[in-house]
Amino acid sequence: MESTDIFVGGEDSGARQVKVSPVVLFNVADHYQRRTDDKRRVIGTLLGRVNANGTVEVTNCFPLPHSEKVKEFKEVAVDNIYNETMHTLHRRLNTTEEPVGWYATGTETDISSVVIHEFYARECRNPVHLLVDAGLVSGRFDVNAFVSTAYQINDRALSSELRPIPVCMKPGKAEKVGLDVLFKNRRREEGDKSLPIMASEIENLEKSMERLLELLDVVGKNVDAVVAGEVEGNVTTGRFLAETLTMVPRMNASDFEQLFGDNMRDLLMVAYLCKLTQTQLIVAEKLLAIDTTPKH
Amino acid sequence: MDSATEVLDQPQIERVQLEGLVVMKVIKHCQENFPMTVMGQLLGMDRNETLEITNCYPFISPPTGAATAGPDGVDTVAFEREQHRYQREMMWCVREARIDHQVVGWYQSSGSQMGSFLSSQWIETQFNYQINLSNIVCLVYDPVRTEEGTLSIHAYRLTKKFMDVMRKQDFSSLGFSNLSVSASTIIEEVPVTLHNSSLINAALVELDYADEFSGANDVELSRLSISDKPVLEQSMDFLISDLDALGREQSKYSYYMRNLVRGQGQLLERMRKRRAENANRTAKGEEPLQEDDDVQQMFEKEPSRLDTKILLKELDSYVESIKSLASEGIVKQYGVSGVQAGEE
Repeated sequence: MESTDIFVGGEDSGARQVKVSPVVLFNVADHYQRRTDDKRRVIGTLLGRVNANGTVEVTNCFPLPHSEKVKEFKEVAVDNIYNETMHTLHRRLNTTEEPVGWYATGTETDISSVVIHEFYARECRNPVHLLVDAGLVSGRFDVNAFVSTAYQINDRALSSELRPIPVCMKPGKAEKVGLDVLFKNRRREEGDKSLPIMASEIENLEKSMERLLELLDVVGKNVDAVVAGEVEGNVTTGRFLAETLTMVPRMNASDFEQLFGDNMRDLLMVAYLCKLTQTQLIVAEKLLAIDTTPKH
Repeated sequence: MDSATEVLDQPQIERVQLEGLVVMKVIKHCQENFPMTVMGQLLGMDRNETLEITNCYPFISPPTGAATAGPDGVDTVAFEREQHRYQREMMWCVREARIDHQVVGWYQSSGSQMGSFLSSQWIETQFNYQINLSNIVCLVYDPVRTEEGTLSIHAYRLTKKFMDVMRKQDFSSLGFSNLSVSASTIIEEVPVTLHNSSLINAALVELDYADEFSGANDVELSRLSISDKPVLEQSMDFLISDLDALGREQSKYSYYMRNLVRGQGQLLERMRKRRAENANRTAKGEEPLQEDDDVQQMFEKEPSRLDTKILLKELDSYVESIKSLASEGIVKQYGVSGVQAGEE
């Protein structure tokens, strides 16, 4: 199958790297699970923005119903009305997201990929193609990105191929927090019941502290080993550790005592006032419930 | 016993099962529009006692100029029409993509409001949902606390008792106490569990070990930063302004009470006169006048207690979150002192 990923009509795209928001993977996986039995794969439109430096940020996507003849790889039909409608609806929600390409599930590109890629080339300039191995054929949830590159002799385009480009994840801070909860939930399902489903701030803090101590332990052991001459020291690690240690602000004990005391007093005062407010609120509620029936 | 109606009703759901997809979509939508408050629709199905939320889509937000057009300006009407069309088209798309298309609730971000969402408008919306469909929840997402490192997403619904109050539309203190509804029993939280398909779990394993989520990018460690003072301060600001509002409500109420007491004397006087007049009329063989319509009027004048109840509930949630933030701060303080002690 050498010639499968070649098609005519593409041109060199400026895209150098694709940054994918995790929500896109969730959407693709969900779409794949909802496919009909006769579908070999599912496709959909990717939304996002193209940066001037050549990175394409994929921040959203939506499914696109399509049908293709499995045997001949020749006929592909996409539901254009659906695509248009979804696109219009999305523009009402988010004006900064534009179509940037399309996704498909599977492990390799083929002739129908080429046809679909041509279709998207009309939707947006230089579409990117995200290939998600939702069938887990390769044994892992693999994500690859492709752009089309044109082969030209003089001005005549001969053919073009789908060339892979690097992909990375780009989660926002809140998305990371959300994913962290999902990671923990997965470990819970596997039997690690040490965590509640929705941990509170203080429970999370406890976990973070534990993790910090764990990491300090690892670092401490490593440093001890290097000092004892058992392991050869790594210069980069050493520099990094030294830099980290110098970042701890140095202050004399009395200043720190002062700062610590002040902060602690503030926080305790807040906690105390909160308790007081809570009591007042209960009293207020009780007062509101008094019977106003006039006595005859 | 209301068990008879219970049987007729659909079984009440007892927990909410949230797909990871929904969590991610809600976070994306709410975070993008922060600090604006946005809403969306939740889709899924209810099975026995579990409400499964499997997908969602965002609602369009009103155009920013609509605020100037006034509450019943032409813009609002046009927006509502657009909202309806949008929802109809979105539902068509959802069905085409074979996504569950049963409405099971709605979600809302609390914007910059520090987790507060309760308002008469919220209650109105939730009531309208709940009166038509029994198993409806509202997911409330707090972008501020999530940004600080703790996912804050909770499911709420109106309690059965409060639904009765809403049906009667009687917001006097008598109406509340007759149905034994207090500020803490207006809404109830439904416990949330998370669920992911095996395929999504496979993707999660992949992500868990990706560079973007380990090392310096680990959320566990970024949580240790000592920066939540502004959040604490802002929460306190909201608490104080709500306390002021509560104070105003209280004085409004005590003003009413004063008038009521003062009016009671006059009322009794009038009723005595009326009774005497009635005695006269019956003596003359005429129809007696109504005796207690004035009393009735007196009751109807009681200001709605709903706003006060809402304020109380709001204050309670502020206090809870401030308490949690303060205790977090105290623990971090000791952490810092540990580091300093090690330095010396």
